[in-house]
Amino acid sequence: MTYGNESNRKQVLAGAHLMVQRGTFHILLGPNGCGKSTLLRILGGLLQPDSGSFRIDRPCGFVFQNPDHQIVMPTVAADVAFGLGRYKLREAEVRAQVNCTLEMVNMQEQAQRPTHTLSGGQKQRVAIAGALAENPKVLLLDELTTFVDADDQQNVLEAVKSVVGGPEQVTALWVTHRLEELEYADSASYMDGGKIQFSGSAAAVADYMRSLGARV
Amino acid sequence: MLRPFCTQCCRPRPCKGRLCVEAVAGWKLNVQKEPIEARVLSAILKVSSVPYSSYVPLPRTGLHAVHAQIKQVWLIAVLLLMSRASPAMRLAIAVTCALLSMATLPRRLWKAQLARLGLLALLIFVFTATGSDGVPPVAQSRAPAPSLTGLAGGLRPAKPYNYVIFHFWFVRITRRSVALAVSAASLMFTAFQSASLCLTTTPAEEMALALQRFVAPLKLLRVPVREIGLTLLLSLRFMELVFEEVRNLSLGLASRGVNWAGLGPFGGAQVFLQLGGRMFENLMHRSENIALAMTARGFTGPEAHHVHMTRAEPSSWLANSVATALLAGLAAAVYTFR
Repeated sequence: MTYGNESNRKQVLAGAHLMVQRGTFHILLGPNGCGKSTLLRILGGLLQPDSGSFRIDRPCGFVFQNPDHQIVMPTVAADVAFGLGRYKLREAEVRAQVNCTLEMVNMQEQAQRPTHTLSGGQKQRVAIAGALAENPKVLLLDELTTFVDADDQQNVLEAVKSVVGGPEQVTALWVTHRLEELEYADSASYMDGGKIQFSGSAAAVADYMRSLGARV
Repeated sequence: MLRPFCTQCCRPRPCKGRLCVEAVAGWKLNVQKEPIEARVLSAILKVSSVPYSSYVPLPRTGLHAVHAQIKQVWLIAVLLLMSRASPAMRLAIAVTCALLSMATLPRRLWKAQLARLGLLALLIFVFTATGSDGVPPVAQSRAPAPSLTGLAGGLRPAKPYNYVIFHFWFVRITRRSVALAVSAASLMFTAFQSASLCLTTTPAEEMALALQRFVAPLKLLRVPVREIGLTLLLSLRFMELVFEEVRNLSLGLASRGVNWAGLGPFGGAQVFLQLGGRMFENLMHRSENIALAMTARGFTGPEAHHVHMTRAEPSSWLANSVATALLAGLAAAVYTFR
């Protein structure tokens, strides 16, 4: 895919090609400005590519880098239920789905808490729960651990890892520039200059990163 | 290595070091002369991290168990009843509202809220009491003097009566100005504090749903009822963002160690204006991002979108009955003691 080939825009994607196996936790690595988030937004349907095509399982859930931008409702449970508002569901069904989703990210105790009182990591987990509530086939996760500390980083990663795979065959595409997160991944890709430079297992990508001089 | 300037008195060394008298005097002077801009910033940063009037789920009190629609009726009824009540009754309602806040909210919240609002009410009281009846009317009274009507001395009250309570130079406090001051201060206090009590004990989703139900009949007139409800809901969410943004920007400015005294009042005002502009920019940016996130989460418009999980806990019939009975009691008391 390409994006931004008009004269008034910087070319962000220049023939990016990516394949991710269903039911895996795939990490997309790369330096700032290499086009990771743009690629994710195109896959999420928030941007239209200028050329090329893509195929992705639906429905897919999108989680943004800053949870304050993702959380819409003032209370945790209501926010998780927000995405379900487009379907005609009974209140009991919604309640059951929200409780189940909050349990998946270990936030069931915080269901009635106002969202502004949560920590960065808790907000991120609520945002993930909001995406999971719709039973997505694919989770698109944009640098979720940028604003969180080490403990919350681990909690968020484990929350995502716990929902990947399983009978639903949920796939997670996780964008990051933190190399230590590779240990949670099944596979990974390295992106630079709007292109996927290398794809493979997490170990193979770690070796590739070492060859580039990175400390993995 | 010895610094060329004393860290205490900021004068070239040698100075008297730790016992430097100038340093101690200068420190005291600095404490007294802290610029107003720095005091404003530190006041903002000292405010509790919980935004004013945001929902506080715990400890769960009787007010939490009252239905949001009953609370909204209370809010409107209290203001309407206050307009018909005597000054003493108005003061009693304001005091009850303060006591109810103390009984309902955690100490750290009600202490700060009541202190700020109390100060504002006091200012309104003082300015209204001293200024509302202080200037005598320019036009002369057209009523005949009592001596001419033959009523002089005939209608003296049993107890001594003074219309003017206090008069010194241009400050004149009369019975009328005191009554007006009590009314203005208590009305302002009750309006703000009762709304705050309502918001701190009710989730924003319930408030929005309750409002939506009240205005539901307007659907017949093609009023976008769901849009009104969602707008209220997003506004309540936005209040927290504004609060957070102000705190973040103030923290950023405080950490820069701006020399306010050097900037002077004009420079200080300019910095605050820039800060205000920056705040609006940031808020607009956040709004854009939230709108994008709403789209990503499947929001296509208020009419096609259902807001679920609006009720945190079911309301208690006992709490609802008590609240309704108390409202009837208040109405009766207002009309009895007019």
